[in-house]
Amino acid sequence: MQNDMSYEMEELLPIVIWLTEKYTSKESSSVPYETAQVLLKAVMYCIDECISGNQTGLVSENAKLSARAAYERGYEVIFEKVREAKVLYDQIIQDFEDYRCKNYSDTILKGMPGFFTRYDARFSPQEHLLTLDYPLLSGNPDLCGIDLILAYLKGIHFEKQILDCFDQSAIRNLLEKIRPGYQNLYLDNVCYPVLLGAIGCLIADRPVHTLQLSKKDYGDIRLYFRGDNAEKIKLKIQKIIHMIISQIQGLDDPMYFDPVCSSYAVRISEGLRNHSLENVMVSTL
Amino acid sequence: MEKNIFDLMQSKKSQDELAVLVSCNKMTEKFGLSLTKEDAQELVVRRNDSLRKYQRVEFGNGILDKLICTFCDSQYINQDNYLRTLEQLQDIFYEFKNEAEDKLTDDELLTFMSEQFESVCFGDIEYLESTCLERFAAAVRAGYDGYKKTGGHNEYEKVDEESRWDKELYLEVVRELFWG
Repeated sequence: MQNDMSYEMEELLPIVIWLTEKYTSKESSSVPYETAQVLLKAVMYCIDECISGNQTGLVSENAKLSARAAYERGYEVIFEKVREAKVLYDQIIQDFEDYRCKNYSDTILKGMPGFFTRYDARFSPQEHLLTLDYPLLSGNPDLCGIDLILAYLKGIHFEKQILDCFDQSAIRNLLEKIRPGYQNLYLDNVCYPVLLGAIGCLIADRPVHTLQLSKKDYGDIRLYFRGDNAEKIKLKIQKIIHMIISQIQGLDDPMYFDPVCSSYAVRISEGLRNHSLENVMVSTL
Repeated sequence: MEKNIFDLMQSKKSQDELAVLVSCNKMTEKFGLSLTKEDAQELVVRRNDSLRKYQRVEFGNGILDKLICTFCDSQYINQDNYLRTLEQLQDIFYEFKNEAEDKLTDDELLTFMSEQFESVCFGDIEYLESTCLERFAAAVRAGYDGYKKTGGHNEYEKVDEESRWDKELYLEVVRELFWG
C-alpha cells in the first residue's frame, strides 16, 4: 500500500481475478470484456469506498492496508451504507405524502424498493439500478452506486421534512396552479416551488404554510428586491431560507439549499424585470 | 487503464501456461499426439488472437489444457492435424461462448463440441461451427436450458433438423434389394 492509498494495477489484478472466479463460480475460464470491466469497476469502487471512509477517520491513515484489505474494508463500508439507506428509506415511507404527484410517488414508492432487492454489492456495487426520475431540489448528485442512493434518500428525507410543514392541500393547489393536471404531468421537484412561495410569504409577512400571496403582497416583494442585482437577491434569499430552516425542528443542514439560491435569484430577477413575479412565486389564491 | 489491466492479465498468464501445455503430452502421447514447445507457443499466440477477436478475457489456466484433455482421444485427430485442429477448436470455443451469451459453462460447451465432433460432424470442424453450434447457441439464446441437467450430453438431437437414421427406410431398401 502506498501512503496515499492508491494502488497499482498489479495489485488490483489478483482481486479482479478472484472476483471473476467468484462471478463465474469457476465454471468459466473467460468472460467478455464488458463483464471484466464491470468487475474491475466493482473492485475500484470498493477501494474508493475504503479511501473515502479513510477521510472520515474510518481507517487510520497510518494503517498499511494491502489492496485486498482495502477492497474488503470498502465492501464492508458499502454494506453499512446500504443498511443506513434502508433505515432512512423506512423512515421516509412511514408517513410518506406524494401530493398525488405520480413521478414523486413512482420514484420513491415503486422504484426504490427495487434497489434494495436487486442491488449487488459484490459484483456491481457501482450500479444504482434506478433512474431516479424525481429530481432533488438541486438536481441529483453526481455519484453512483450506493453513494448516489444514500445521498438521494438523505435529500428526499430532508426535503420531506420541509414539505411536511406546509398544508398538504396548499401544496396540491400550488402544483395545480403551476401545471394543471400536475398529477401525471409534473416532473420537477415539489419542494422547489413550495420553498419559493414560502420565501414570498415571508417577505410579504403572510402565513408561510398557506402559500397565499395577494396582489399587494407581490408589490411588497417587488419593493423588497428593488434595485437589487441577481447576486444581491441571492444573498437575501439565502438569509430567508436559513431563517425558514432554523424554524423547522430536526433540520441541521441549511447549506443544503445554497445551490438552489442562485436559481431562485435568477428567476426572481427575471420576474422583476419582466413584471411577471406572479409566474415565479406562484400563489395558491 | 482498463485495457492495461486486461493486457496485464494475458501477459501474466502466458508465463506458466507453456509448461502446462507441454506437460499435457504425458497424457496425449498414448493417443500418438504431442506438442513441441513451439507448437505450444503458437497455440498461445492464436489463443490470444481469438480472445482479442471475440473480446474476451481469460483467467487462471485457461481453456487450452481442458481442450486437449477433451479432444485427445478423438478418432479424427492425428499428429498431422493436431495443432491445426486445436487452433480451430479453441477459436470456435470462444466464439460460441459469446454466441451463447455466456450461459454455457466451459464444460457444457466442451462436452457438446466433442460429442458432435465425434458423431454427426465426423471430424468436420466447419460443420461443427456453422451447423451444430449455430443451432445449439440459437436455442440457448432463445431460453433453452436443458443442457444444465445433461451437462451438454446428448443435446444435439434436440436441435437437429435433419433425420439422420431411419431404420424403417433402411429395412425397406434391404427388403427391396434382396427379396424384392
